[in-house]
Amino acid sequence: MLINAVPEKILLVEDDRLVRRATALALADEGYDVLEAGDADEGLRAMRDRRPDLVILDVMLPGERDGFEAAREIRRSSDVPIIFLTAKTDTVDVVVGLESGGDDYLTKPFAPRELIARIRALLRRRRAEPRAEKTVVEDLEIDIAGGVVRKAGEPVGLTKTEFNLLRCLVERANQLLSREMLLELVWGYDYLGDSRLVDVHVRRLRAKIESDPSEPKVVLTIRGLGYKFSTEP
Amino acid sequence: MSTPARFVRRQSLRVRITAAFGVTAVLLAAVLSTATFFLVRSFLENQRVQSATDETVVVLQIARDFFATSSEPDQIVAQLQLRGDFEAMVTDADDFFRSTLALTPEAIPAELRAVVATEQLAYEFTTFERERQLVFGAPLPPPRTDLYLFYPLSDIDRTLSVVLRVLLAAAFATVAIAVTVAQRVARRVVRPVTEVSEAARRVAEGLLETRVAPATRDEVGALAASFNEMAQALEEMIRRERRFVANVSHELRTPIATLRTASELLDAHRDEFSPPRREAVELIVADVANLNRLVEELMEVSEVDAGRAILRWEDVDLRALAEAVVAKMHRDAQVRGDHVATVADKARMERVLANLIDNAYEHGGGRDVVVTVDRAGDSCTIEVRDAGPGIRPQDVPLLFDRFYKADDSRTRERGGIGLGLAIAYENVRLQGGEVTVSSAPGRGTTFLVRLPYRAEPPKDAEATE
Repeated sequence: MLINAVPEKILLVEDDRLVRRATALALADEGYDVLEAGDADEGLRAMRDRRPDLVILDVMLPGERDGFEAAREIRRSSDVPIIFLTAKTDTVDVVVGLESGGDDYLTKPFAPRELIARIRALLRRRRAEPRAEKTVVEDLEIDIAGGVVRKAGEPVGLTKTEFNLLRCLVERANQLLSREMLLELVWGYDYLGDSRLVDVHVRRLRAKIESDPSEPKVVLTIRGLGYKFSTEP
Repeated sequence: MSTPARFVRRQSLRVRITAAFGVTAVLLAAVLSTATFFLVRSFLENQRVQSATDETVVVLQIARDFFATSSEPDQIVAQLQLRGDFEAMVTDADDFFRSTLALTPEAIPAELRAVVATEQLAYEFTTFERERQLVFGAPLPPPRTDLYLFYPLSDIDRTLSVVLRVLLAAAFATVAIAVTVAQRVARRVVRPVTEVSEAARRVAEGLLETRVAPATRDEVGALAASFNEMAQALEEMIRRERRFVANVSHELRTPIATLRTASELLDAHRDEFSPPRREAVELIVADVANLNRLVEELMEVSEVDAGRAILRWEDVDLRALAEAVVAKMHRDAQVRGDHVATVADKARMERVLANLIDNAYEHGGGRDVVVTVDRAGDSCTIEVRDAGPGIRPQDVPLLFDRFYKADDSRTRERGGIGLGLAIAYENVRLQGGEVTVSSAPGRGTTFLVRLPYRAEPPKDAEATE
């Protein structure tokens, strides 16, 4: 952390007070400004009032809304990165839950180092490639440097992670990218990451940029190998 | 106890039931056939005696008439013989006259001759020239002259031999049918018993949900029913125990999460503490890590035990995985071999590798640990080899047992609790593979994971994309 740098704000929504306090202490120790919430409603309030840079959401929350619901609510107005916390024995499938807008997940109990690594990967600011030209495929217009994606002239709302994924694909257009490579480029994982993260995000990205997501023409699946951004018609 | 009795007792119930039926059938068939045969024979013979008696009386009359008019016995004999289906012979004091040269006086039984000598009509069965004959004897008017008529019984004997053959065939058929029926009955009786013992074996192997279908309402059905009750009780008991372990582990997780996070925060600042406090922090960190691992291992074991293990198939490069695991563990193990790409459960294979590599360092001395990935035909292999002290031969078969520690006598760092290898074994087994171990004291230990090579997930697996 640079001296005088404004600390990044992290919203931590976790119902178990002791776990929440310990996690908050570890995050604060890393220099983050931690906002704590004990349930979804409290978390959404903090979300509105304090505009955090990243949200950590426990999946199993007391009250009417669980973590997935809260994520869906957040996604209506924000592209903030969201990390889910889940217990291995939870009956819900966290990868299905990622569809609600999560960017990554961690299984409890996790090592604090791991959580911090995940936060860093998602908050990492990328310097845009000094490439002025825009990429145009069909009715899709991608301006990486400007951070804008338009489809048929209309701006497309991508989350930060979706944008990063698209950027990685566009910067290596017409090249095969394995799931593991994308995991490393976008999420900062080594080989051990869960490649379903990539699949879920590709699916979400397609839903926003493909004319027919069930028959993708831009982000292609290369079966058994990975994905490819195609600029060829 | 006599040897045959012991032999019978050793045979299967099916063999014994069949044998009992067979022996009974043989005895019954023998008695019935014999009785039938002798009844038929005596009936036929009585009939023959009846008709022969009538004929003899007539012939005797004619013979007497002949002797009244002529005294040429050989002509009389020839004449008589034409009267019926018999051979005739006339004997007097010093000569005999016969209708066929085959007959000699020796053919006449001595008892018959003695009775006829008392001037009576008599008959007797005899065998002459290997044929049974019915011989009638009667005195003729001239003194010491007797007439003997030989009725052949060959037609009766032919009939009897047919009857005998039919009876034998019937007896054989009866025994054969009895044995066949016995086998079926035995199978039907024994099958439920076999099923129960099969089921008991499966339960012993750990398939606790095994039950038998109580097909009948008899004693065998009762056996099946009480077996099922026992299995049910056993299953509930074991499930309760497993649920308890799972629940306890689950409940322990949350406080451990707190402990882990808090202790690692302290650990990050250990340089700020005085040496004794620093050591205290290190102790806490180490044992929280052990506790965490224990709970994770218990959770995993109870997941497998409960049959709740869900496999997630995806493309895995086994060598890249091995390298990532080694890097994550901060170990210096060498990874060799090919980039074997297969379809497996990556997270499970990660734990398998981590547990085997961990074992190589914890128990194998950690010298020259080499992980070699290879593919041979239909199977992928991962070999984890160490150059440690090796394992005593008597410990090798127990290595994959839960809570087993080969070196419990030695003092060492408390690490895992002996579940690591069992978990590795279960995880490989879930994916259709196996783990084997070869070791010799002083020459290191090699664990070999053999996984079936897959180009795509198994058909019954859920799709992952």
